[in-house]
Amino acid sequence: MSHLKSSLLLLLLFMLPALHATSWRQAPESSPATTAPAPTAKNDATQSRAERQLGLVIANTKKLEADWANCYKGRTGDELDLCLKETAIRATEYYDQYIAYFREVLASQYNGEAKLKAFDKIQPNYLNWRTAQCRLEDVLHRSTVQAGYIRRARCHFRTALTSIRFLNSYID
Amino acid sequence: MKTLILSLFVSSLMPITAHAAFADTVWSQVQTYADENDACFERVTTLAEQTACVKDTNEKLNKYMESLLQSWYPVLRDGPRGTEALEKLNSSQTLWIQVRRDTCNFAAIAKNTPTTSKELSAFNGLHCVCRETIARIRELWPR
Repeated sequence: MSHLKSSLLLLLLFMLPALHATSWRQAPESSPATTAPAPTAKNDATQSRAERQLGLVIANTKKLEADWANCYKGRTGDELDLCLKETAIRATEYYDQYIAYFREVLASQYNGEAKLKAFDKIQPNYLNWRTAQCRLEDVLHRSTVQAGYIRRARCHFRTALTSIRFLNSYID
Repeated sequence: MKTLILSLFVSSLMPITAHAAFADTVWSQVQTYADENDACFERVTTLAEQTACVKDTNEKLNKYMESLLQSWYPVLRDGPRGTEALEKLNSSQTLWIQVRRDTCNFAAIAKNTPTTSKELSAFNGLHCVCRETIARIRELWPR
Protein backbone atom coordinates (compact mmCIF):
# COMPACT_ATOMS: atom_id res chain seq x y z
CA MET A 1 0.00 0.00 0.00
CA SER A 2 3.02 2.25 0.15
CA HIS A 3 2.45 3.45 -3.40
CA LEU A 4 -1.05 4.63 -2.49
CA LYS A 5 0.29 6.57 0.48
CA SER A 6 2.93 8.09 -1.73
CA SER A 7 0.29 9.01 -4.27
CA LEU A 8 -1.79 10.76 -1.64
CA LEU A 9 1.27 12.66 -0.50
CA LEU A 10 2.00 13.58 -4.08
CA LEU A 11 -1.52 14.87 -4.58
CA LEU A 12 -1.28 16.96 -1.42
CA LEU A 13 2.05 18.40 -2.52
CA PHE A 14 0.68 19.06 -5.96
CA MET A 15 -2.37 20.82 -4.58
CA LEU A 16 -0.43 22.91 -2.09
CA PRO A 17 -0.01 25.98 -4.32
CA ALA A 18 -3.73 25.95 -5.02
CA LEU A 19 -4.55 25.84 -1.33
CA HIS A 20 -2.37 28.85 -0.73
CA ALA A 21 -3.49 30.80 -3.78
CA THR A 22 -6.09 33.42 -3.09
CA SER A 23 -7.32 33.80 -6.62
CA TRP A 24 -8.46 30.26 -7.52
CA ARG A 25 -12.00 30.24 -8.77
CA GLN A 26 -14.48 27.43 -8.36
CA ALA A 27 -14.59 24.92 -11.19
CA PRO A 28 -17.06 26.15 -13.82
CA GLU A 29 -20.27 24.16 -13.76
CA SER A 30 -20.10 23.69 -17.50
CA SER A 31 -17.02 21.50 -17.13
CA PRO A 32 -17.73 18.98 -14.38
CA ALA A 33 -14.94 16.68 -13.31
CA THR A 34 -15.07 13.42 -15.24
CA THR A 35 -13.52 10.53 -13.39
CA ALA A 36 -12.34 7.78 -15.70
CA PRO A 37 -13.91 4.42 -14.90
CA ALA A 38 -11.65 2.20 -12.86
CA PRO A 39 -10.22 -0.83 -14.62
CA THR A 40 -11.62 -4.08 -13.41
CA ALA A 41 -10.06 -7.51 -13.30
CA LYS A 42 -13.38 -9.39 -13.49
CA ASN A 43 -13.78 -11.82 -16.36
CA ASP A 44 -16.11 -11.25 -19.28
CA ALA A 45 -17.51 -14.28 -21.10
CA THR A 46 -17.30 -12.74 -24.56
CA GLN A 47 -14.01 -10.88 -24.44
CA SER A 48 -10.69 -11.63 -22.81
CA ARG A 49 -9.71 -9.56 -19.82
CA ALA A 50 -6.61 -8.29 -21.60
CA GLU A 51 -8.63 -7.15 -24.62
CA ARG A 52 -11.20 -5.37 -22.48
CA GLN A 53 -8.51 -3.77 -20.39
CA LEU A 54 -6.60 -2.55 -23.41
CA GLY A 55 -9.78 -0.99 -24.83
CA LEU A 56 -10.58 0.60 -21.49
CA VAL A 57 -7.10 2.05 -21.07
CA ILE A 58 -7.10 3.47 -24.60
CA ALA A 59 -10.56 4.99 -24.07
CA ASN A 60 -9.74 6.44 -20.66
CA THR A 61 -6.41 7.94 -21.65
CA LYS A 62 -7.97 9.45 -24.78
CA LYS A 63 -10.78 10.89 -22.66
CA LEU A 64 -8.27 12.47 -20.31
CA GLU A 65 -6.38 13.95 -23.26
CA ALA A 66 -9.63 15.37 -24.64
CA ASP A 67 -10.42 16.87 -21.23
CA TRP A 68 -6.98 18.47 -21.16
CA ALA A 69 -7.42 20.00 -24.62
CA ASN A 70 -10.90 21.13 -23.67
CA CYS A 71 -9.50 23.21 -20.80
CA TYR A 72 -8.03 25.60 -23.36
CA LYS A 73 -11.41 26.27 -24.97
CA GLY A 74 -12.66 29.59 -23.66
CA ARG A 75 -10.67 29.56 -20.43
CA THR A 76 -7.84 31.84 -19.39
CA GLY A 77 -6.05 32.80 -16.18
CA ASP A 78 -7.12 31.13 -12.96
CA GLU A 79 -9.97 29.31 -14.63
CA LEU A 80 -7.56 27.66 -17.07
CA ASP A 81 -5.10 26.80 -14.28
CA LEU A 82 -7.83 25.16 -12.24
CA CYS A 83 -9.15 23.13 -15.16
CA LEU A 84 -5.64 21.86 -16.02
CA LYS A 85 -4.88 21.09 -12.39
CA GLU A 86 -8.09 19.09 -12.01
CA THR A 87 -7.40 17.14 -15.18
CA ALA A 88 -3.84 16.39 -14.06
CA ILE A 89 -5.15 15.16 -10.71
CA ARG A 90 -7.68 12.92 -12.47
CA ALA A 91 -4.83 11.49 -14.55
CA THR A 92 -2.79 10.66 -11.45
CA GLU A 93 -5.88 9.20 -9.78
CA TYR A 94 -6.45 7.02 -12.82
CA TYR A 95 -2.81 5.96 -12.61
CA ASP A 96 -3.40 4.80 -9.02
CA GLN A 97 -6.49 2.87 -10.11
CA TYR A 98 -4.58 1.32 -12.98
CA ILE A 99 -1.73 0.23 -10.70
CA ALA A 100 -4.17 -1.67 -8.50
CA TYR A 101 -5.43 -3.53 -11.57
CA PHE A 102 -1.92 -4.06 -12.94
CA ARG A 103 -0.81 -5.67 -9.69
CA GLU A 104 -3.76 -8.06 -9.80
CA VAL A 105 -2.83 -9.15 -13.31
CA LEU A 106 0.82 -9.62 -12.39
CA ALA A 107 -0.08 -11.70 -9.35
CA SER A 108 -2.13 -14.05 -11.52
CA GLN A 109 0.72 -14.64 -14.00
CA TYR A 110 3.48 -17.23 -14.08
CA ASN A 111 6.05 -16.34 -11.40
CA GLY A 112 3.59 -13.68 -10.22
CA GLU A 113 5.14 -13.24 -6.80
CA ALA A 114 8.58 -12.36 -8.22
CA LYS A 115 7.04 -10.04 -10.83
CA LEU A 116 5.00 -8.27 -8.18
CA LYS A 117 8.03 -7.90 -5.94
CA ALA A 118 10.07 -6.38 -8.77
CA PHE A 119 7.23 -4.06 -9.75
CA ASP A 120 6.59 -2.83 -6.21
CA LYS A 121 10.23 -1.88 -5.92
CA ILE A 122 9.75 0.72 -8.66
CA GLN A 123 6.83 2.58 -7.15
CA PRO A 124 8.26 4.68 -4.27
CA ASN A 125 11.14 5.98 -6.38
CA TYR A 126 8.86 6.48 -9.37
CA LEU A 127 6.45 8.70 -7.43
CA ASN A 128 9.32 10.68 -5.91
CA TRP A 129 10.86 11.07 -9.36
CA ARG A 130 7.57 12.31 -10.83
CA THR A 131 7.33 14.98 -8.14
CA ALA A 132 10.98 16.02 -8.65
CA GLN A 133 10.69 16.05 -12.44
CA CYS A 134 7.53 18.18 -12.38
CA ARG A 135 9.12 20.65 -9.98
CA LEU A 136 12.09 20.86 -12.34
CA GLU A 137 9.83 21.58 -15.31
CA ASP A 138 8.04 24.24 -13.26
CA VAL A 139 11.33 26.00 -12.45
CA LEU A 140 12.68 25.72 -15.99
CA HIS A 141 9.58 27.23 -17.58
CA ARG A 142 8.62 29.80 -14.96
CA SER A 143 8.69 32.84 -17.21
CA THR A 144 5.58 33.70 -15.20
CA VAL A 145 4.11 31.95 -12.17
CA GLN A 146 1.24 30.74 -14.32
CA ALA A 147 3.57 29.37 -17.03
CA GLY A 148 5.48 27.36 -14.43
CA TYR A 149 2.29 26.13 -12.81
CA ILE A 150 0.77 25.01 -16.09
CA ARG A 151 4.00 23.26 -16.97
CA ARG A 152 3.93 21.37 -13.69
CA ALA A 153 0.32 20.30 -14.22
CA ARG A 154 1.18 19.19 -17.74
CA CYS A 155 4.13 17.18 -16.42
CA HIS A 156 1.96 15.30 -13.89
CA PHE A 157 -0.61 14.67 -16.59
CA ARG A 158 1.95 13.49 -19.16
CA THR A 159 3.97 11.26 -16.85
CA ALA A 160 0.86 9.51 -15.49
CA LEU A 161 -0.43 8.67 -18.97
CA THR A 162 3.00 7.66 -20.27
CA SER A 163 3.46 5.27 -17.35
CA ILE A 164 0.05 3.69 -17.83
CA ARG A 165 0.78 3.05 -21.51
CA PHE A 166 4.24 1.71 -20.73
CA LEU A 167 2.97 -0.70 -18.08
CA ASN A 168 0.06 -1.81 -20.20
CA SER A 169 2.49 -2.95 -22.89
CA TYR A 170 3.59 -5.68 -20.46
CA ILE A 171 0.15 -7.18 -19.99
CA ASP A 172 -1.71 -6.42 -23.22
CA MET B 1 32.18 19.41 -27.25
CA LYS B 2 32.79 23.11 -27.86
CA THR B 3 29.92 23.13 -30.33
CA LEU B 4 27.71 21.45 -27.77
CA ILE B 5 28.57 23.95 -25.05
CA LEU B 6 28.04 26.85 -27.45
CA SER B 7 24.71 25.41 -28.52
CA LEU B 8 23.59 25.04 -24.92
CA PHE B 9 24.75 28.51 -24.09
CA VAL B 10 22.96 29.98 -27.06
CA SER B 11 19.85 27.97 -26.29
CA SER B 12 19.79 29.40 -22.77
CA LEU B 13 19.80 32.96 -24.07
CA MET B 14 17.76 32.83 -27.21
CA PRO B 15 14.04 32.34 -27.35
CA ILE B 16 12.05 29.57 -28.93
CA THR B 17 13.88 29.18 -32.27
CA ALA B 18 17.31 28.43 -30.74
CA HIS B 19 15.76 26.05 -28.18
CA ALA B 20 13.94 24.27 -30.96
CA ALA B 21 17.08 24.03 -33.09
CA PHE B 22 19.09 22.53 -30.24
CA ALA B 23 16.32 20.09 -29.35
CA ASP B 24 16.16 19.07 -33.02
CA THR B 25 19.89 18.28 -32.92
CA VAL B 26 19.48 16.20 -29.76
CA TRP B 27 16.48 14.30 -31.12
CA SER B 28 18.25 13.69 -34.38
CA GLN B 29 21.31 12.26 -32.63
CA VAL B 30 19.17 10.04 -30.44
CA GLN B 31 17.30 8.82 -33.51
CA THR B 32 20.63 7.99 -35.16
CA TYR B 33 21.56 5.78 -32.21
CA ALA B 34 18.14 4.11 -32.34
CA ASP B 35 18.44 3.51 -36.10
CA GLU B 36 21.95 2.11 -35.71
CA ASN B 37 20.63 -0.25 -33.05
CA ASP B 38 17.82 -1.44 -35.35
CA ALA B 39 20.27 -1.95 -38.20
CA CYS B 40 22.50 -3.95 -35.89
CA PHE B 41 19.54 -6.16 -34.90
CA GLU B 42 18.84 -6.86 -38.55
CA ARG B 43 22.45 -7.64 -39.34
CA VAL B 44 22.95 -10.26 -36.64
CA THR B 45 21.20 -13.55 -36.15
CA THR B 46 21.63 -14.68 -32.55
CA LEU B 47 20.30 -13.40 -29.26
CA ALA B 48 23.86 -13.07 -27.95
CA GLU B 49 24.71 -10.78 -30.85
CA GLN B 50 21.54 -8.74 -30.39
CA THR B 51 22.39 -8.38 -26.72
CA ALA B 52 25.82 -7.06 -27.72
CA CYS B 53 24.13 -4.57 -30.11
CA VAL B 54 21.90 -3.11 -27.42
CA LYS B 55 24.71 -3.02 -24.86
CA ASP B 56 26.75 -0.96 -27.30
CA THR B 57 23.79 1.37 -27.98
CA ASN B 58 23.18 1.83 -24.28
CA GLU B 59 26.79 2.79 -23.76
CA LYS B 60 26.54 5.42 -26.50
CA LEU B 61 23.24 6.76 -25.17
CA ASN B 62 24.52 6.97 -21.60
CA LYS B 63 27.64 8.82 -22.71
CA TYR B 64 25.60 11.19 -24.85
CA MET B 65 23.14 11.96 -22.04
CA GLU B 66 25.99 12.52 -19.60
CA SER B 67 27.77 14.90 -22.00
CA LEU B 68 24.53 16.86 -22.50
CA LEU B 69 24.02 17.09 -18.75
CA GLN B 70 27.61 18.08 -17.99
CA SER B 71 27.36 20.89 -20.53
CA TRP B 72 23.98 21.98 -19.22
CA TYR B 73 24.87 22.22 -15.51
CA PRO B 74 27.00 25.42 -15.67
CA VAL B 75 24.58 27.09 -18.08
CA LEU B 76 21.65 26.26 -15.85
CA ARG B 77 23.47 27.44 -12.72
CA ASP B 78 24.17 30.83 -14.31
CA GLY B 79 20.64 31.22 -15.66
CA PRO B 80 17.47 32.44 -13.97
CA ARG B 81 16.72 30.65 -10.67
CA GLY B 82 19.99 28.80 -11.34
CA THR B 83 20.63 27.27 -7.93
CA GLU B 84 17.06 26.06 -7.58
CA ALA B 85 16.97 24.71 -11.13
CA LEU B 86 20.25 22.85 -10.67
CA GLU B 87 19.06 21.31 -7.43
CA LYS B 88 15.82 20.16 -9.06
CA LEU B 89 17.66 18.71 -12.04
CA ASN B 90 20.06 16.79 -9.80
CA SER B 91 17.20 15.47 -7.72
CA SER B 92 15.19 14.39 -10.74
CA GLN B 93 18.17 12.78 -12.47
CA THR B 94 19.28 10.85 -9.37
CA LEU B 95 15.78 9.50 -8.87
CA TRP B 96 15.38 8.75 -12.56
CA ILE B 97 18.51 6.57 -12.55
CA GLN B 98 17.06 4.55 -9.68
CA VAL B 99 13.68 4.29 -11.41
CA ARG B 100 15.32 3.14 -14.67
CA ARG B 101 17.24 0.45 -12.81
CA ASP B 102 14.14 -0.84 -11.00
CA THR B 103 11.89 -0.50 -14.05
CA CYS B 104 14.27 -2.47 -16.24
CA ASN B 105 14.83 -5.13 -13.59
CA PHE B 106 11.06 -5.54 -13.68
CA ALA B 107 10.97 -5.41 -17.50
CA ALA B 108 13.54 -8.21 -17.61
CA ILE B 109 11.11 -10.66 -15.99
CA ALA B 110 7.73 -9.08 -16.75
CA LYS B 111 6.91 -11.27 -19.73
CA ASN B 112 8.68 -14.38 -18.52
CA THR B 113 7.06 -17.76 -19.08
CA PRO B 114 8.30 -21.16 -17.92
CA THR B 115 10.37 -21.41 -21.12
CA THR B 116 12.02 -17.97 -21.02
CA SER B 117 15.81 -18.24 -20.85
CA LYS B 118 17.99 -16.12 -18.60
CA GLU B 119 19.62 -14.73 -21.73
CA LEU B 120 16.28 -13.50 -23.10
CA SER B 121 15.42 -11.92 -19.73
CA ALA B 122 18.75 -10.10 -19.75
CA PHE B 123 18.13 -8.88 -23.30
CA ASN B 124 14.66 -7.61 -22.34
CA GLY B 125 16.17 -5.68 -19.45
CA LEU B 126 18.83 -4.11 -21.64
CA HIS B 127 16.28 -3.20 -24.28
CA CYS B 128 14.26 -1.46 -21.58
CA VAL B 129 17.35 0.57 -20.63
CA CYS B 130 17.72 1.67 -24.24
CA ARG B 131 14.07 2.72 -24.55
CA GLU B 132 14.03 4.49 -21.17
CA THR B 133 17.25 6.40 -21.86
CA ILE B 134 15.97 7.62 -25.23
CA ALA B 135 12.73 8.73 -23.57
CA ARG B 136 14.68 10.53 -20.83
CA ILE B 137 16.85 12.48 -23.26
CA ARG B 138 13.76 13.53 -25.22
CA GLU B 139 12.05 14.51 -21.97
CA LEU B 140 14.93 16.73 -20.80
CA TRP B 141 15.34 18.37 -24.21
CA PRO B 142 11.78 18.46 -25.55
CA ARG B 143 10.94 19.68 -29.02
